[in-house]
Amino acid sequence: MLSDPVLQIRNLSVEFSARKRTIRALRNIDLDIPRGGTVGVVGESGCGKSTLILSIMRLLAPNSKIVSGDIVFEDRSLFELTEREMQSVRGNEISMIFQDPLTSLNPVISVGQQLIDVQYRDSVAKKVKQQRAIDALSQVGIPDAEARLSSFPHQFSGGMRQRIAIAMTMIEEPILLIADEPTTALDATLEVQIIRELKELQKQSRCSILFVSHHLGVVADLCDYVVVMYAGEIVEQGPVRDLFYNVRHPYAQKLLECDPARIVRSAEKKFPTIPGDLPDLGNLPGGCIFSNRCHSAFDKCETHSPRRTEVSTGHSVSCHLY
Amino acid sequence: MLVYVLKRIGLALVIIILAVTLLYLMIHAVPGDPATVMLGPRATPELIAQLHQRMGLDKPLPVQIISFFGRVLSGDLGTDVFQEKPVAGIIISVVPYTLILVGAGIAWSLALGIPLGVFSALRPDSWIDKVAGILSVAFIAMPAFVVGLYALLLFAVTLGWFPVIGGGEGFAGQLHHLVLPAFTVGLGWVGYLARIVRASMLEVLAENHVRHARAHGLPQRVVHYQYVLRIAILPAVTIVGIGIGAMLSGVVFAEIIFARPGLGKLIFVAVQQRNFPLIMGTVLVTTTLFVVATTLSDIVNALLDPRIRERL
Amino acid sequence: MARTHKRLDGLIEIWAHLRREPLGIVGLLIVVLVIGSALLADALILVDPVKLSIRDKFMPPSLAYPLGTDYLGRDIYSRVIAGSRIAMTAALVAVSISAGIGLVLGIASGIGPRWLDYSMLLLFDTLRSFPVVMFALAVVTLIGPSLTTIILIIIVISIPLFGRAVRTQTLTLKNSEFIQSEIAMGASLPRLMGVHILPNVLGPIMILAAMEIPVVIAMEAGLSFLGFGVRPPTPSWGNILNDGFKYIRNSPWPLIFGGAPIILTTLGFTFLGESLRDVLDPRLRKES
Ligand SMILES: Nc1ncnc2c1ncn2[C@@H]1O[C@H](COP(=O)(O)OP(=O)(O)OP(=O)(O)O)[C@@H](O)[C@H]1O
Ligand SMILES: [Mg+2]
Repeated sequence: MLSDPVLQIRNLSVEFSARKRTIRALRNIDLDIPRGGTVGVVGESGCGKSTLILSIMRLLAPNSKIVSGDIVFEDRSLFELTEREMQSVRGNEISMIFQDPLTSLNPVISVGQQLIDVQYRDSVAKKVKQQRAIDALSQVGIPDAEARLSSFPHQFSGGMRQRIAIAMTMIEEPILLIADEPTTALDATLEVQIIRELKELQKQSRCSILFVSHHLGVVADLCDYVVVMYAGEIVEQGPVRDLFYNVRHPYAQKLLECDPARIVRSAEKKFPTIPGDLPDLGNLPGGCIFSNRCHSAFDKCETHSPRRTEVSTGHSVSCHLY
Repeated sequence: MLVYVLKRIGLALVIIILAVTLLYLMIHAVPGDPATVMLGPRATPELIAQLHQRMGLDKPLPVQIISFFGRVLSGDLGTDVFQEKPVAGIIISVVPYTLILVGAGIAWSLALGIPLGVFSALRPDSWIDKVAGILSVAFIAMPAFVVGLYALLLFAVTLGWFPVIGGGEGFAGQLHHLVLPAFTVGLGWVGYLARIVRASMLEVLAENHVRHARAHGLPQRVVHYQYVLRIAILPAVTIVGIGIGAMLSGVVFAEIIFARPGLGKLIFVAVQQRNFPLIMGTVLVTTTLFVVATTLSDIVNALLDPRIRERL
Repeated sequence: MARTHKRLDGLIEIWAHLRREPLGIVGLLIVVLVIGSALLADALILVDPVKLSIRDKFMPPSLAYPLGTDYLGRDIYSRVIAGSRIAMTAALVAVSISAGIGLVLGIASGIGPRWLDYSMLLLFDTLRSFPVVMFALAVVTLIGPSLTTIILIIIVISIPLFGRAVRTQTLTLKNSEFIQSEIAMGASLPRLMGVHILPNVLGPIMILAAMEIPVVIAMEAGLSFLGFGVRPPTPSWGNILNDGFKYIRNSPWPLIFGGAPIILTTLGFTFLGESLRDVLDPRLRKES
């Protein structure tokens, strides 16, 4: 893999306990994020993308448990930091944009104040912080930024709210930016703009990005490394070209086949459908987790879990076919 | 926004007018009439007629009601036929005592109830939370006058820490006299406020923006006490208006148990004397105060929440 | 047959949930105790609760007088037991009548024309805008203190509570797709009310009623305590407190044992009501 990763995830497994059941949401995740690189994570709904991200931020729900593994960020294990130390990582070294822009800003605090609050670590004058907020807002294309500092989130459209969230991360100048489906809730034209903002942001600050999306087209456009997740596991990962042109795993193949962006760049953002259902994470079958939906499954798939195999430099897949 | 405020005030006025009319009608709907009731066994036809005339009861009912409102608007609540004094004056002289008591009751219940609710919400299902929850329900359910009597028995009569009767002289004296009555009228509201703040705090804590704020590294303190509490406190504001109204009625017991001057004591004595003008006046004033309190809290609530403020 | 079965199943389910709520069990025990003593008052009392024996006045609790005696030497224990009957009568009669009236007004408001709905809401708001105790005192002055007066007052002030809850419930039901389609198919209003709306609002009404009983008990005791309720020497809990208050310096026992049943009963009904509400209708939790 590429040298000098910003973030290394090693053998991470996460469980949730819900109504006496144990939901094994993530299992044995290994992933590196190269410095200055952009890693895209794709997979259908419920495969554990948000869980992965929230484990990095250490913001998982209280009913969660890190079963095994470690996350190393800039040579520090995030799991060994105290809550206070973690706090100074969040919004400072690692910054995050959430899935739902409509509900991620505080409804009763003015946008300006929220942009100022994220700079609480800086001991500069309030005027300076305010100017930074204005600059960031104008940069993400909010017109009349100065006047709108006193506005409240509900006075902005969904797209604008997501841009305000991006402005927040711009102010923070993180080393790593995590974006959890930042465009899913927005319509297609906005999506293009938001992606442009992100690219711009990366060019300026040279931060690394972990980008989660339903949309393969967007991932192909923005990322240089792609991770395909299925039911809490990484089934295939590799450099973007390699993976798109030499896709190996049957699930990833299906995913690419039915991506609407490949056929027509349509405005419809429904996720491609693959026949069959995700396995029950509370009661996983033995063998390969995809075997029940796989068109090329054979005997071994039902009984043995596949190991991770490197098929070319940086491109690995977990499937008995390879 | 202005429209909303005006509408809300309009509704309040309508309710006050309706309430007073209802009361007036009720008084006249009962068999016998106020004059007879007031005079009791002394009633002779001449005396009744005389009192009728003095109280304006000889006119037709609608005229009576309208002239009653006219007089009320000019600040005339009638004359107390027992003391030969204007009712308005008598009421005004005791209103401050009641307002101070209600204010003290609300103040201490806010001061304890809100932190209790926040504290519980931040430790959901801990044993402290459970105990606080049971206590809150108990405070709400227990009738305040029984609590007051027990407090009187324990702290004033048995232990002698607090005075048994009166309003007190001087600031320190008044404060000393205020402790037990304020405890009595406020206790239930400690429970209400704790419960409401806890529930709304938990609700807000589960909202997405809280995780967002934490993801941006905001300190726990800022997230809890600025980002969350600012929203979670809103329902408490509404409840305070209702609390003030309910306390106006709860003070009757506190004022009698602790022999304190005030509206409650006034109406208690008026009822014993069957002093109708005074009863009407007191009910009118307390009802108005009640409606004003709830209206104000509604308006304040709307002002505090930018989402509502915008929509209005 | 099937119907009884269903009802039994329902009860068993409620019990299964209630068993896990210690506070609900405590509440249930207290409620059973109080209702039991109200029903069996005649058998439980030791002496006639209004019988005087001046020589034994202000006695502390003893074997002869388990809870002591008051200023006239009356047995407080017997008075407390007899008082439970008054309290429960007032509570049950007042709550069922106001729930009934509230039910009718609430349904009328929910399915009636707009103007009716508005006037009902205004009526509810107006009734609720009186400070309760002041209002009660005014009424007492007019028609004289008695148990009936108290019940009447409680009915009037509780109607908005039930009326509003039923109205909300009715409106939700009325706008449900299923009722709308029945209306479209020409179902008559009385049929809709009887068959669909009534059974659906009964649950919430029962819970509200359980929660309102403590309020009624407190009200009865409070007015009697002020001397405007049940006429002495009838042994109501409020009257025991009234006597105790007058002679607070002579003996604390009438106050202590007059207040205890009031606190116990209100707590009992409240704890039971709370648990029932959590079990039966989690949705209601937010409304109140
Ligand atoms: N707090 C929780 N308690 C129990 N189960 C949870 C919890 N959070 C997530 N899960 C479960 O973990 C699995 C992964 O959820 P996650 O939110 O990570 O999926 P996702 O890939 O982000 O989906 P989406 O694309 O819909 O956002 C799901 O099955 C989900 O139901
Ligand atoms: Mg997600």
